[in-house]
Order: sequence, then structure tokens, then C-alpha cells
Amino acid sequence: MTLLEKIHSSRTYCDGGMGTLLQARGLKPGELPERWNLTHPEDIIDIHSQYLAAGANIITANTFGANILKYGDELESIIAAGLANVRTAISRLAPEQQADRWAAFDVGSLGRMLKPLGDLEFEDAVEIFAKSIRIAARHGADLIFIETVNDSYEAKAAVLAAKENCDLPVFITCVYDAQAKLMTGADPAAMVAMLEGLGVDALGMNCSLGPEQMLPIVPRLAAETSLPLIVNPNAGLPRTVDGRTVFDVDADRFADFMVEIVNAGASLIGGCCGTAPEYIRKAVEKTSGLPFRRPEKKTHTVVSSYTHAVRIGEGPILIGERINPTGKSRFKQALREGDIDYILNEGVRQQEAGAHILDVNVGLPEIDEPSLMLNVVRELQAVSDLPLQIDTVDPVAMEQAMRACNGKPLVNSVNGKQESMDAVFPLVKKYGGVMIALTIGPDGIPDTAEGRYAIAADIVAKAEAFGISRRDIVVDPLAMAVSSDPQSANVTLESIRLIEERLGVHTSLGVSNISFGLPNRDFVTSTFFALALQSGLDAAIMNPFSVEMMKVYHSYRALRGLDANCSDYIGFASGLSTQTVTSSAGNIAAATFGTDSGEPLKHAIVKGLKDKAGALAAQMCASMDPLDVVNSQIIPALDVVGKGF
Amino acid sequence: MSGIIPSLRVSSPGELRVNRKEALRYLGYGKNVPDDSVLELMDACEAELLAAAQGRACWVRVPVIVPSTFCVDLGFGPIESVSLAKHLAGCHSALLFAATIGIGPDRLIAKWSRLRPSRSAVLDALGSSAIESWCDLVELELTRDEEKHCDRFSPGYGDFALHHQKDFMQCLDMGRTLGITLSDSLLMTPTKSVTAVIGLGASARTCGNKCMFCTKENCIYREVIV
Repeated sequence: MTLLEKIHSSRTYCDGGMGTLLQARGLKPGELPERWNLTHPEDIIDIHSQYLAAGANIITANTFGANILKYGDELESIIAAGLANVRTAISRLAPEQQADRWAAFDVGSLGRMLKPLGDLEFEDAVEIFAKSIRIAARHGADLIFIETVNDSYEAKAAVLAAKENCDLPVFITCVYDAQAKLMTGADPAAMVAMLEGLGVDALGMNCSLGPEQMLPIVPRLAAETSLPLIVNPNAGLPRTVDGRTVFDVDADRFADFMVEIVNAGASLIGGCCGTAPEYIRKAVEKTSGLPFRRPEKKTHTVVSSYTHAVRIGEGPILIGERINPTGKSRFKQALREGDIDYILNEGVRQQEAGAHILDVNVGLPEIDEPSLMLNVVRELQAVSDLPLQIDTVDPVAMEQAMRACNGKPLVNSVNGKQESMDAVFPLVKKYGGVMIALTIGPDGIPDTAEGRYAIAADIVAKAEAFGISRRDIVVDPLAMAVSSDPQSANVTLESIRLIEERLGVHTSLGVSNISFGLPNRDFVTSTFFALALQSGLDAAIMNPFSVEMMKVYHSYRALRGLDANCSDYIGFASGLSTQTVTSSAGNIAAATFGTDSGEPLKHAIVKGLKDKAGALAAQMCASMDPLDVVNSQIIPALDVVGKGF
Repeated sequence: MSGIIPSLRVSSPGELRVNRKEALRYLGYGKNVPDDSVLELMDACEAELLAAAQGRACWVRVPVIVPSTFCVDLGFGPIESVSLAKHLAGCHSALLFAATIGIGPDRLIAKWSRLRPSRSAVLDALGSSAIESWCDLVELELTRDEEKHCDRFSPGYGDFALHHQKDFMQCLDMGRTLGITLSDSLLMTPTKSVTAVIGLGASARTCGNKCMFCTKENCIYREVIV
């Protein structure tokens, strides 16, 4: 039986702690434990043998800290000896007992923080892990077991290194605190989303907590993951007894808790700090008779950041569209000048305005998009903890952004043309992500709902054949300007219904296209947004600064029972100024845009400040295309003025 | 993990505090009184900082051997340091101590440094005062039943070389217990973290002033020694 067959068909046991056992055998404080693979191999083999005798299937080599930072030129010999020690221990078992035993290359945290919080580059971390993993694969490891990771970005670096440098199964366990968060903030849903996206084979938690404290976190992980769940607790929490610090759970109580942990959904169990072969032996005895439950396949659609996950399909999701140069002269200027702070501000302001996800589009013909995209993704992740939507048609920029993303992103977009699927599918398969699938086929955009559904169905079928689940596809059936085709909104709304009903996938729309060419676009866009939500729309790429759009969002949630006690609605509505709520249409718009500080030219025109408007227009024409000034500033302002009459 | 098992203490909700007076000193206010806008900013920053921070501390007790006036042995090899030897003279044992208020404050400081640097500076100063207050609180608990104890003495003080941070990392297993990492230049992340030796013993030297043993006499943060 292979390891993967084993973990999907029956309970599998990991080993327990190593450090405390080595210390009992004379490891000095400050001494590097992995060196004992060479200097004290019989001690290490003996510990492995004891865990094998206790019933462990997976024996982790004594290689937790075996990386190039600590061991330099000695690295290969330390890793080779570590794996050889496990092999020797397995070979000493009676032949009939050697089946279902595997030697894991144990990968621990590097002890260095990645940028932006620390000084280690993400790609350097990948390479440090890769060096060790290549050695381990050469020396016969059966699997890569990444453990005790307390930072999501480091977890991503380690998993990528493993997937790019060997074909072995990859298991990973992270360190959660009592609040079920990693040291750098990720919750179980965020970690599961990212790690499943990266293609690990089993995941879970270890260290820091005892079994009792881990117990409430197990169902949270089990509710998110479709993979076998690993739970390796410490032997309780450290407690001082007679001046000595000890862990406070003995082997019997440990095993009792492990029964509960198995019942809560763990498939692989073992121990961490303070546990010894006796703990594993008793846990095996007490849990081996319990029925094995395969992990349930999950169907929810989820993206994540380095702190939290966002589910698509459980209430409207707002994707902030403001990090995008289309039609925004100030933004174009910021991109050309490399004014990252302006972009970051747009990100933070959208989060404050209520966006759940940030769309990131930095495409301009004259700039180096891959390099700017990478920079913006990294920088945004230092100021905002929202999941990102990588929005580009450049596959190089897309890959760099997906690689640097500290979570599972939305990917905008793929379409029904073969070349688009050929470019995007491999990236989603490798890095994980949810694809926005546009209903554009080889012949363009069909003008019927059936036509758009057919393209969506084709993309879903081809993605599944490629190994991408339909839960990782969100279809955008495209909103086209109602000013040029009176049926366009009806077709889009019908497409949403067909796609959701027949394909069971979720939908998203760039809603503002619908009002292109019309004055006071927000009125049309927001009404269309309401209709689309009612038709089943799950997410919208929209402007979270638009009061009209936010009115629809909050009202819809309150009306559909998605806002307990209408509390979000009340918070939103009571924060609006009286003028905005009660004045005439013209004044609503005047009150909600064109402030003196944000858009001074619009403000000056709306307020009738003739001389100021003239001076500002002349000033703007010095740095912008005059037609851009007319389209982006003067016409919208005149629309507002016109409405006032 | 290696070494003896470190003891661990995690802050309870509401337990972390900032010290406004200290924070204003770090901000360079000296004896000047900040205006209302600064005080308002401090209020907002304090709430934001404390919501993002969590205190963790760990320690082990080790025997102290001072074989000469320039060398100390705390169980992980000799530390050549005249100032540490002097500091621990008369101590039979010591606590190797490390504490942090977590990565949350670092995220806030980094975020606001890009968006509003003044807010970042205030958060930084408040964070520094919060980690000191957290260390004071845990130290008080740990030394309550001790006959006498020295003040905290950290790598980087006097001639106690900064590279001994690596020994703290290893002995206290700080990566696992506190989530602390060391940079190439031996600086800790989270930045609001402290490592220190606390000497214990009937003849322990104490002065009640953290700055007394520091040789950097022109330090702008130096507390006045009375």
C-alpha cells in the first residue's frame, strides 16, 4: 500500500517528540540536535525503534533544523544520516512488521521572518528549503513532512519548494495558538484554502498546545479541508513542579484526548514536544478500534489572505475595483511615476469602505507590468489583509503575483479561448486560486444566455479534466452597456440564473460596464446590481466608494436575512449625512463626490467656481491628455450640475 | 526542541499596558507637553496597538558560574563579557528570559509608515513602552519569591555581545515558544521583543534603574540616575 492509499483508507500514526528524549540522553542546552545523526546514530535509531514499536507508521527523521543556514557544508551528511537512521530502525523490525512504515524528511521553520515583516526574501526562503528537500529526495525520503510552521508565508515557501523539487507526498502541520491563529495571524480556514490550493497531500497542526487545547480547533480544520487531517499535540502545557518545568498531560490522559480528536475528524495522529513512545503506544491502543472516516469533499468556494478566508456564495462579496488604471487619469499618473503609496492608499480606503477583496490591475502599455504587479502585490500585503484578485492578461505578471500572494487569490481571468485556458489553468493548478471565467468564446461574446452558459460549461469541463475543481471557478457572464443594446442586462441576468442552476458554480460581474455611456451611471449600475443579486449573483467588481452601490449592498443583505438585526445596515445608514439621504438627486451626487481635496476640478465646477475651475483645468492639462480631463472630470461634473436643474 | 523545557506565560485580555510617559520620551518630547492633537492620536494608536498585541514570555532557570571577571557560564558555553560578569557577581542562578508582544504591532507600524508616518512613529513608541511594561509585569511575578534579583540585562548591553541572541534562541526554543526569529543582523522579529538575563541570589546587585549598567552615557533615552 502506498502512503497516500494508506492515509485515505485507514488511520495513520505519526511519531512523537524528539528533543526531550535527546536531552534525557545528554543533549546539552544550545547543542544542535541534528548533529547527533552523525555523532550518536544508535541513540537516534533507538528512539525511532521505540516509536515503531509503539505503532507509528510515519517516522520523522531528526532533521527539523537541517537547513543550509545552520549546517552549511555539513547539510548533506546530516540529512543523509538522519534518513539512514530511520531506514535502519525500520529494517530492524521483523519483516512482516515493515509494511506501512515510512521515513519522513522533517522540515522545520527556518527561524527567520520573511519580508515584509522580517528580512528574508520569499524566493530566498524557497531556495533554502529547496536545497534540503533535493538532498532528502536523493537520500530516499518517502515524504516531506513540513511542521511547526507559524507563518503562512513561510508555509507557502516550504510547500512550493517541496512541490518544485520532488514528487514525494507533502504533509504540513502549522502552529495555532489558543485563539486558533498562527503567530502571524492566519486562521484555520485561511491556511486550509492556501495549502489545498498549493496541492499538499495532508495538513493539520502541531506543537504549542496540548490535546485539550487543540480539541476545539480540530472541527474548524475538519470543516474546511477535504484532505486527511493531522493532529500532533504537545504533552499538554508547560507547568512548573518542584522548580522543574514539565508538560502536564501524561500518556493515559493524552490517549483519552486523542480519542476525542479522532472523533472530531483527525485522520493522522501523533505527538510533539514532551510526548514519548509511551504516549503514541497508548494513543494507538485507544484509537485503533475507532471507525475510520474519510474526509468529506468540500464544495465551498474560498479565497484567502494571510489572516482570513472569504467564502464566495454565502452573501454578496464586494471586490474593490479602484486599483485599476482604466478611466482613471490620476491612477495612470501614479503608475507611470511608480507612486506606490497612492495605490496603497486606494487599497486601504477600499477596505475601510467595505470591500472584501481587492482587485489589482496595473496594466498600462508603457510599463513593465510583471515587475510592477509583483511590487504592488507585495506592498499591498503589508498594508491590507484582504484577499487579492490578480487582474491581468499578462501570464508572466499573473504567475509572479500568484507566487508572491500570501494566500489563495482570485485570478481575473480565463476565458473560453483555448490559448487563455492553456495559459491560466497550469498556474491555478500549481499555485491555487479561484478563476474568474469570462464567457468569451473563440467567436467572441454570445448575445444569448444559452450561448454564454455553453462557454461557461465548456470552461468548467476542461478545467475539471485538467484537475481544477469547479469550486475554484467563478463565472463572469459579462455585463455589456445597456445604452448600446437594450437587451444586454436581461441577457446577463438570465445567464447568471442558467449558470448557477445548471453548473452549480458561482458568478461574479464587473457591474459598472452596464451603465457605460449614460449620465449619472451610479443610478443604473446600482439598480442593475440589485437585479443581479436577486438573480443569484455572488460577487461584484465594483466601486466601494459609491454610496448608491453600498446602499444596494446593505439594503439587499438586510432584506434577504443576511444581516442579523440589520446591524450592518444601521451602521451604514446612520453614518450617511442627512443631506445625502434626503436631498434631490443632483445634490446626492454633489454631496458624494468631487470634494475639494479629492477631485478639485469636479468640485470647482459643481460649486460654480469659474475662475478656479479654469485654473485647475489648465493645470491638469499640463500633466494629462486634455480629452482625459474632459471625460474624467468635466463631463461628470456637468452631469451633476445638469441634474440640479 | 532542545534544552530544558522553557516555562511559558501568555497575556490575558486587558493585561497589556502602554506607558504614555515612556512613549512620549521615545518620541523625543522630553519635558515638553504634547498638544491635544498628539494626545488624540495617542489615544487612537493605543487602542489599535493593544487590540493587535498579545504578550508571550518564556524563561528557564540556569546556574550561574562566573569563573573570572570577564567571563560567565550560563550552561551554553562561555560568554565573554566584563559587564555581564560584573552584573551577575553574587548570583547563584539566573533566569534566561524572552518576551514579545507579537507580530500585530509590527504590521501596524509597517502599514502606517506607508500611509501616515506620524501614526507609525506613535505606534512604534507605544509598542516599545508596551513590551517594557509586559517584561516588568512578568519579571515581577517571577522574582516575587526570590530573595533578591538583578535588573534585566540584555545582549547588546555593555560588552554583552549581540551574537548571544542565538544562544537565547536555541536555549529558549524561541521560534516555537514565542514565534521570535532572528535576522542576519541579529535583530529580532517581532521587533517589540526582549531577551534578558535576570540574576538571582542573596547578593544580587540591583539599582532599580535599567540604565545604570549601560556604558552608553550619551544615550538620549537614558533615564536620569539619581
